[in-house]
Amino acid sequence: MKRRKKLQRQHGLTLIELLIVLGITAILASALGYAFTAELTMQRVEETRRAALDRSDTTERQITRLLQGAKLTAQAESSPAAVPGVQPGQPAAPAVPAAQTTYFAGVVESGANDLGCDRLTFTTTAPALPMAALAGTDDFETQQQARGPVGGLAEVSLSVTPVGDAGGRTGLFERLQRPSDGDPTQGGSEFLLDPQIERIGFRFWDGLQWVTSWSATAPPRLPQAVRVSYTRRGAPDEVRVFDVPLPSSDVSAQSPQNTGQNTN
Amino acid sequence: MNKQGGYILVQALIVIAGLLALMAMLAADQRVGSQAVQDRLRQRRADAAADAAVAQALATVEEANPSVVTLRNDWAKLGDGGNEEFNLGEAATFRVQIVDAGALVNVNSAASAQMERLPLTKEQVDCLLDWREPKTQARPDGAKDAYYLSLPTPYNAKLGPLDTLDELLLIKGWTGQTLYQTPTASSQITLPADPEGNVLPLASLLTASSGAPNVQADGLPRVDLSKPGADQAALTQAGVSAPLAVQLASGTTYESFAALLGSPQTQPSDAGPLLNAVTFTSGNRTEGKINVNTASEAALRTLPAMTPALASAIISRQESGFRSLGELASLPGLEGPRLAQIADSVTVGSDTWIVRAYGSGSGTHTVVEAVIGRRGGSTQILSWTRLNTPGIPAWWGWNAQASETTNAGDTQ
Repeated sequence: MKRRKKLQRQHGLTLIELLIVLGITAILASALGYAFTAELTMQRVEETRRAALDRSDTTERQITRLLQGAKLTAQAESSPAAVPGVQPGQPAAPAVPAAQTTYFAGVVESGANDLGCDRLTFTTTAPALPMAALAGTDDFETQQQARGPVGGLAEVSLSVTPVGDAGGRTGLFERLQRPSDGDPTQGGSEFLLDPQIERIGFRFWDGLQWVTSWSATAPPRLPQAVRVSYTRRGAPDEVRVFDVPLPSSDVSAQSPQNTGQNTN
Repeated sequence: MNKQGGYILVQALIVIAGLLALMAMLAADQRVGSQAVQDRLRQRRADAAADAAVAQALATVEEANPSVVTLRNDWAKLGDGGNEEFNLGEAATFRVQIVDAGALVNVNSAASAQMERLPLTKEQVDCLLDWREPKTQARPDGAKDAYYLSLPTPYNAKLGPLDTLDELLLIKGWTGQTLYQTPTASSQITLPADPEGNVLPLASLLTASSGAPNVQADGLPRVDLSKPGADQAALTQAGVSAPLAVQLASGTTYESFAALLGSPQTQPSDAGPLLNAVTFTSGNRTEGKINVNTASEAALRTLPAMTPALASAIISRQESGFRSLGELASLPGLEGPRLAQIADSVTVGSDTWIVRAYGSGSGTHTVVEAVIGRRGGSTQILSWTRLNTPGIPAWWGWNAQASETTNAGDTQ
């Protein structure tokens, strides 16, 4: 009898306990469920953000690399009479002024832009020889057929305004012509470097200040650095900025380039 | 009692499992995120290390004396030919080598006789000459616009000097195999080899830019004999015998050492002083001459008049170095017409260097080849190329592993 009573008492307690446990379970389950949905949302957001960041980073690295290779060829560096191997009595090759095939020009193309000039055209050693060209064993014409001309200086032009017909696509376009041909306005092939870039502007350090345009015709010089500012689609107020120092520039504070501009 | 306790335990386990799963997801997220950031950082470190290597090379070249450039100078020792690894901390390191461009054969000025001694076909030589010369008539094996404009992607022949060495790949007959792979064609000279004895690609012997200041070894200007009215006092001071100095000052002009040293008025004893003191151009630099102080045996042997014995005699003198071009005349076996032929193609100075920089940051690397020039008193980078090679370029001839390590800041 005593034993049975004890059992009954315990049974009753368990019912109340069960209710409490059920309640706690429900709360915990809903909290966990909420946490999972929140985490999934966060994951998605984070992924988009990371992709955008990667994209920006890739684009910035590409532009940096192109700019770092910027090269101007000084003309008439030396007298051609000093060419070795010229036999006595045989006249040395006369000096012929070659066409200007290297340039570095930042121009304002489509109206005022608070980010700087909107088109940058320059000659560069980048993107350098592709691996396939270094390792290829085909003859010259087969390689030309396969991947077109490689080597020498390339002409690169960056702008959000395509030179040719872009088929309605928008973004930052890169026009690449290899070899550079002395015509900085067209030629080569144009492709979309980053479809997410809405606006881009370039500024140039002339040794003393940032200026909004650059012309390297006479005397041909490169700016000490280029400041690239851009905005991405969907975030027109968020201006991203990065600077690229040009290793081959001889412009410095001691020897500034007189651009005749006075900007801030 | 046991039954109910088990129920609660199961519930608790489910909740803990849920929490653990949530934490695992969060951790995975963080891992991917930090991985991406770390990859970027590694790449940035490798870039920065390569930049540091070029900066150090620039600072070293700034100290060089372009009038006399020898292998005993600091620039030649920097990085021990790529064997020394500079540790910048944070797993970033760089290796660097400076090469005197004057030690290489300049594709913009080398004569056809010089190139024929290299493992090149006649087509390649003719096409290179056609590419860089302004004439529009092609050689029999050469090519001008008519050929290049018929290619799938047409372009014009340069008709001017090449800007970079890889521009050679635009020339008919030249491919990556010619320049960047171990040569298969036979040549009259032995090409340079890496420490293990493998023959290096032709790119190790060629440059598109080299030159030397057109001055004497002590920095004084040279006397220009291409125009009448040479400075007699300067000639006598340099040690030219009086009768010859008078004759040169009186108006006889010369175009080359070959003509001057071959002239009957020139005594053998005048050769040294003349090599030291005269020039045949008014320009302030001479382009493409080979620096006897730094050139490899292969580069010297491209000169048609250079015998194997002479080349090795010059190589063995490089340890002490030629202090002036005139010392060439005192080299045993180098006299008379042979000296006259060689003198026009060589120098003891240089104003252009090639920097090979290899920066790495735990697994990633950046390969840069830069050309540094000393022009008119200032030192500057003339060209900067980031290469796409998967590791150290074969034509650098470096060991795969550095043999010594230096912490940055400990150098010199």
